[in-house]
Amino acid sequence: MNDFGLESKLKSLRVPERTQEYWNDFPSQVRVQLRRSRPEFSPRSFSSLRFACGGGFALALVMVCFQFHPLQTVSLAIAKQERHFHTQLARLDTGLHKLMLNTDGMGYLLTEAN
Amino acid sequence: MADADADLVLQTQKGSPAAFEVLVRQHQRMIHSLTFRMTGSLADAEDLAQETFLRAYEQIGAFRGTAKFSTWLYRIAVNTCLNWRQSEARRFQLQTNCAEEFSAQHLNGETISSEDQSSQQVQSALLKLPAKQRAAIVLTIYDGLSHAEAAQVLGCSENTVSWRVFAARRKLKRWLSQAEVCDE
Repeated sequence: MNDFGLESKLKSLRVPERTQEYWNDFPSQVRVQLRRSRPEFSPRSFSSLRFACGGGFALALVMVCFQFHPLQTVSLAIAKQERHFHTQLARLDTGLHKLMLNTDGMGYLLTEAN
Repeated sequence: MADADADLVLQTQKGSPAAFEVLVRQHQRMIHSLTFRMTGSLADAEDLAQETFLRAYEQIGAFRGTAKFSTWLYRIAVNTCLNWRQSEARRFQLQTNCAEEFSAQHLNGETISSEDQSSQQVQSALLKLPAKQRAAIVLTIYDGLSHAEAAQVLGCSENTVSWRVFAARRKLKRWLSQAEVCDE
């Protein structure tokens, strides 16, 4: 059997005919199946949208929880201490400047140091 | 998407089942033919065609229009058929059924046309092929796809398709020649 013979033999395979009624009904059968077997189903782009909304909600929830978490209280206390330290440092800086301008004070400091 | 189906696909992606129903109507015969040639059974072909469209609807959000809609649909259909658990026993059963049906017609004195006989021989030979070789033959011989297009559908290289077609043709020639000798 040559290539041509094989091809014509293969093409003799006929697909059984179905009635026009079958072709008319098939699309609605698919539609029914879609509703029946996958009721929660919607095309993926819409699933992605739902996923994004869900993700956003979850993130917001985590942020709210974090706001009331003990760690948040600790970090607020640290920030307060840090602000106080910077204020004190600024005052020290001003005080030191005044001290250095006062020759008596500087002499006192040097005496104390020795 | 330079495709006649583009508008319908877009509507389906926006959530219109009616648009998808039109797509099913337009492609149902093509998909039924493919699933029948892959399975040799009308009932299985119907189930697989239905499953193909269900999967297509499910995945249509991911369709970006880089290929034709029909090529994309072919791919889903072929994968559905390849995943169809066609065990050796099941395949053997189908061939047996085919042969029994043929003998019964002989015994009942029904005249079987040479076309019917030839068709049965071809179906039987196709079912003996490994599924991937059968898919390559169905796409290239029956649906007229080039090896490059078939490669796109099957998700493999063009060389792989060429090899599968070559191997399948060699087997089919042998089996169909033997069948012709038996008939004589």
